[in-house]
Amino acid sequence: MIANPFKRPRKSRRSRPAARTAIRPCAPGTTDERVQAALEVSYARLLMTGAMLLFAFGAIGVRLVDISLLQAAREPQSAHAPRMQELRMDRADVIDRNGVLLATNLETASLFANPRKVMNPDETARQLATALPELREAEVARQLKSNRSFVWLRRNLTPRQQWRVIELGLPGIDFQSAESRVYPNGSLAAHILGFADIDNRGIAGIEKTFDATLRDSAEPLRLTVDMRVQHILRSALIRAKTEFSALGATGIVLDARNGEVVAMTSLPDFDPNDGGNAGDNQKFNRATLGVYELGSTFKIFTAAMALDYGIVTMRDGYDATKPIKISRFTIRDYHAKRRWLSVPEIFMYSSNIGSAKMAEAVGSEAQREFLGRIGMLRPASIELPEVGSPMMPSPWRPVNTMTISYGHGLAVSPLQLASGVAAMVNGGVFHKPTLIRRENAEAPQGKRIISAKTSREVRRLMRLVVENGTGRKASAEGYIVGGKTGTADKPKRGGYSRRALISSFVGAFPMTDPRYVVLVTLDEPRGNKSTHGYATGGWVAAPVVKRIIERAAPLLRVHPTDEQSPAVKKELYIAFKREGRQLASF
Amino acid sequence: MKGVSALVWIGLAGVASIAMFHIKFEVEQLQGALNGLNKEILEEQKAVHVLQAEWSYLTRPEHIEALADRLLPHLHPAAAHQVGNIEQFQTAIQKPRTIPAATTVRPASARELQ
Repeated sequence: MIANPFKRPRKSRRSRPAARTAIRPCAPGTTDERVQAALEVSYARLLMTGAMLLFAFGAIGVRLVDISLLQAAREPQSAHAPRMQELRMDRADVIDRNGVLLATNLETASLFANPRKVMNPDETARQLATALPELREAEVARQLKSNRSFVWLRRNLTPRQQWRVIELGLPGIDFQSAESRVYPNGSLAAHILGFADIDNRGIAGIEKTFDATLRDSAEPLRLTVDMRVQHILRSALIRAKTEFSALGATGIVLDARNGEVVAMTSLPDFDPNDGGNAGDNQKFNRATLGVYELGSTFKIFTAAMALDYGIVTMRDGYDATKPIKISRFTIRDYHAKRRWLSVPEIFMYSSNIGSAKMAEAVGSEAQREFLGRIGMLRPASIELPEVGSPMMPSPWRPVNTMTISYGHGLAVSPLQLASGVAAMVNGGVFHKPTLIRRENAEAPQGKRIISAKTSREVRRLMRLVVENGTGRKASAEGYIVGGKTGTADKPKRGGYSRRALISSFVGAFPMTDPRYVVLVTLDEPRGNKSTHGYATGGWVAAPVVKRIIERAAPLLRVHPTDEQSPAVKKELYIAFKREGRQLASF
Repeated sequence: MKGVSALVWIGLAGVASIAMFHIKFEVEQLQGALNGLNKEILEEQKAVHVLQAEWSYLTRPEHIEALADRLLPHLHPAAAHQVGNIEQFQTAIQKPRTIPAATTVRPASARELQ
């Protein structure tokens, strides 16, 4: 054991009398007391110093234990330690129905300079302009000569560009890493996705509608779109738009059973990676924001309405001998037969006169109510901010009832038409179109519009158009396509333009039990040699639908069927009268 | 006796403190390794994320189509008559037919693949 140095030494106490005796002869009395006092003082001082040292060492010891054992969590080593977790970006991904990545955030470096630290602005600018040719040397030199301490030179460099700048080793030039939104598929689904700005805020399309969700969630947003079908649709439309020198083109592939948008394209489109620089015409979504008078495709609704209300049957018909003159309009037929036409014939030959008479028999109020139920009188409910309001007549006069029966006087978006047609062919249930994939249990229930029997009759009529009528060019062998052509004159000041057309075809397949609705609309197509100069829906839009179905159906798992099989023929059998003669069409 | 027990206690205290420090440093080391691993995992996740974006870019349908047009000139989209079902195969097995002589398949030349 270590002896306590501060303990009062006993020996000295004992030796004190001896010392006293020894000292006494030369320094009696007073000297002894002074020595005694000095010893007491030094002893007290020693004790104090010892106590302070003991306290200091004790404190250091306690602190040592505290730091090394008890306060491990506060050590800087762990302060910045990454936790085991999933990678989280500022904005969640967007994926298609099969999980293909459509939009994602990537970390990119942005180049900035601190002009105060730049040694030779002109030389630095020259070198930077060599490494990044898109930079303008004079502009960079001007920025570098400014008196500020921070200037952006270029945002979002590619790794290669960053490397080229690093290689220059310029003082005062540095990078800041930030996330930027990337759309790997480019223009393919531009109008659906929209785009986000440089600060990662969604400013169009799905990016805008789900801006908050994408910021908060780590889970990717799954769309109903199938990129394979989207590509088939887009490339077919690009081809048609070029072939017929059209101003624009729109295409939609809709799941008839639940309203899911499988593909949707509007041309011209833009690259969302550079969305800010796209022109207004490119950014305009013709499928949802544009509203058009879509012509004879509306006869599907007129026929369905008249059949469902029991105003006509498939055996009835109307006299289409003469054009109808009502107020300042004359309603005439494009493919005029100038005779009595049965309901299937009115549909097959696309008779405006017959449809107008059918709608007149139904009445304005009933027509308005019917179109309202299939969402034609209010903006389409779709998860996009770019949605156009339909343009309808006010007041709704009998002449409007007649023109709307063949698709003039009521302007709707192509998406509204497609979802309305889906309700006519799928057994009579209307589903709101959607872009967001939901599990079956979450899918909203549809709303019944027409009876299953009427829906079956509409399917037969639509099949008839493709088999024998104006839509023969849409017949994709094996997929039992049915549909309706539509060719509308574009409205111009004070009337309609005869030269500018909106040509459409809306089809569904397979007609025995429709799975998908396909709509193609061309804006101002010009006929060419291959169409003998015609630019009608049957000539320019129907073949596009055929091409789309032929390529997309196998991917959509629609099995081809023998169109001549008795079961198919029975399902689509139609019997109609023609001026007293009984005809049958398969 | 008193001195021995004191020595034992002091010895035990010493051993305990050494053991404690040893465990502490071991834990610190493991913590460091864990942090390193977590950092690596995060880096890997970032790399995977970039690769996913790259994969999506390289497999965009128009790119695949352009490649197929160039490198697989004889491959066309499947036509309806090329799609069959399993029942058709069963009928074919039940009624064996003479199989036509195998058509010769010409391998793509190196020039086509370039």
